[in-house]
Amino acid sequence: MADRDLRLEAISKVYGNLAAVTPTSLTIPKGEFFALLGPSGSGKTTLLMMIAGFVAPTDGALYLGGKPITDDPPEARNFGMVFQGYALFPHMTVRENVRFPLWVRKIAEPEASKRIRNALELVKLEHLADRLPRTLSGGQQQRVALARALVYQPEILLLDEPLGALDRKLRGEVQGELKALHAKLGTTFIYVTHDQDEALSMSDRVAVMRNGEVLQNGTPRELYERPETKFVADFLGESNFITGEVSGWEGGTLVYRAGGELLRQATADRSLSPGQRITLAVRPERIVASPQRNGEGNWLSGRIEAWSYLGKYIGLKVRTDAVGSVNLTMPGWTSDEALVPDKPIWLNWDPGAPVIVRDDR
Amino acid sequence: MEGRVSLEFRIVLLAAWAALCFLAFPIFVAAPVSLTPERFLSFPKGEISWGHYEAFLTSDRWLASIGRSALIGAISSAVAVIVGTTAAIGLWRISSRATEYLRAMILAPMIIPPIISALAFYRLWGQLGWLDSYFGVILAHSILAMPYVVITVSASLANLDMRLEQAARGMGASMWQTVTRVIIPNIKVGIASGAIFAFIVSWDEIVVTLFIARRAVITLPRMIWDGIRDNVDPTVAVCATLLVLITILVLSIQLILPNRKLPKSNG
Repeated sequence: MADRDLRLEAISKVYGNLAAVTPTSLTIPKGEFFALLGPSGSGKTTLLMMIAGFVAPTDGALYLGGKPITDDPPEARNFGMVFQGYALFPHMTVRENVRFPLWVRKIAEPEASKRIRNALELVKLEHLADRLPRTLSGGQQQRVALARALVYQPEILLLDEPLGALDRKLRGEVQGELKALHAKLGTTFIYVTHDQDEALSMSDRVAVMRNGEVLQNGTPRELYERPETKFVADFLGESNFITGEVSGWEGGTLVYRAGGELLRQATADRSLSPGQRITLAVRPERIVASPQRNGEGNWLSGRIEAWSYLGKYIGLKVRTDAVGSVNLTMPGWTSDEALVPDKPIWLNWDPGAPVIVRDDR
Repeated sequence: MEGRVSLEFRIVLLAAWAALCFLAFPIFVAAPVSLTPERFLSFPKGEISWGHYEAFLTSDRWLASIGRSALIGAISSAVAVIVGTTAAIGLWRISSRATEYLRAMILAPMIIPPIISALAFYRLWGQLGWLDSYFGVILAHSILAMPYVVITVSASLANLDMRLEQAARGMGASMWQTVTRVIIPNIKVGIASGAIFAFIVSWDEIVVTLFIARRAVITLPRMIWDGIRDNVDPTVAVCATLLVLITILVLSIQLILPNRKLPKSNG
């Protein structure tokens, strides 16, 4: 089908004098795995509920395939939804739960039974079809909710923190299953989560929200490597922040001063002029620690403040004179050099490693 | 230490038994009186008689009043259940400040003293021409019984996850389908206990009935009232004794029935 994109146009929700969602415009192409990521209270669930039709937008409009659906009630939208806490009907067995949306659509036998079987197979629950939800584990209930939301082949599947109640290991498994399911079905998934790892590992695209506003949306890679604001840089993964003052250009490279040191930064933004204050975010894994200074680039001296061995990598905290404490990581197996508190050490990073971010905190 | 606990326990036990005896006291009066051979309310002296039982069970007036009360109770509780459940679901769904005021209004018939309600019904029904009619009595009983349904159903709804309704709507169910297939099956216990309360309210309602009914609609409580006031008839005691015995019988059956599941709330 051509152009079945979901388009949000300046959609907003105001409760009293609190803006739960400020005017937001997004286009979610058909078949995309789209995540709404943000801390609690960021408006992500409200935005999802507006897409689902449970919350009426204060302003703005929703289009599906170019057709306005803003005023359609939830039952007219043909979206599937997996709720936080699953919302399984406690008085119905697994099979009856999955049958419910088919009953609503008046889908007759034997088609109904066939679809139920397929849906339960999809989530590997055929053997539990006649159990009541309360006799199932959290992970199993989550799958029932998924089967129930998929059995009527909705155009869009909305998921509200579907893995929130699962323990860490199970969450990893179900993430994989969800992703495989998405690839298999080609249904648009809109996924609300506060878990950055979940959003990064599963989604085609992520919108980061805060205080009812979408700060940035893009592929996980774009968001992680090119965060536009300090909040995004900090919320997705970890970042060290450096504040400095532009001192000039050296060829195509920006030179800035931070704590008395002259540092270099690769940037395409030519609008920066000397004297301007900038904030840079640099990921811990992009900083390299060496016993002595060797070569060009950005070098800062410091002393080891603390370190922790985390198996996969070593986390190191270095106190620098120029920019304060800096966190960095290095692969756990590379260095058997003794890490001693207060030991002098040199830090180095590529001028392309940090990104200049907007200070929005 | 142990002696003190045990003394306290004994006092509590004694108080509990005293309270139980007090609660059971009416039956200790009604049962002997019902067996009196005399033609007026009195304790039998030596000789007992089943004559009043025969009179009661063959009296068209008594049996008719029982049938009438049962009918009025059944219809009033049905009306109260339908309206009360609908109201409770609506209040639960919307749940705002305004609905809390509305809830207080709906519960008013239970809070206002019966005599005040009786006066109000009397005036209004008089103007509407509903006095001494089945319609009038049933409507009044329905209004009086509805708060009990609203309370029990609301209690059931309080345990129900609001997202169940959203889930059903999201899957395409209409409001009607959602209410009948999802909400009601999960609040059956509240509806059933509401229905029982509503029936009982109607079954032994006397104050309002006295005001709004004369000759055409004589309910069982009205018969008992007349029996005591007008002719001090021991048949009243027979009626009371039988009602208590039936209640005990029903409760005993319920307790004795093997493996009977207790109503479970949905958590």
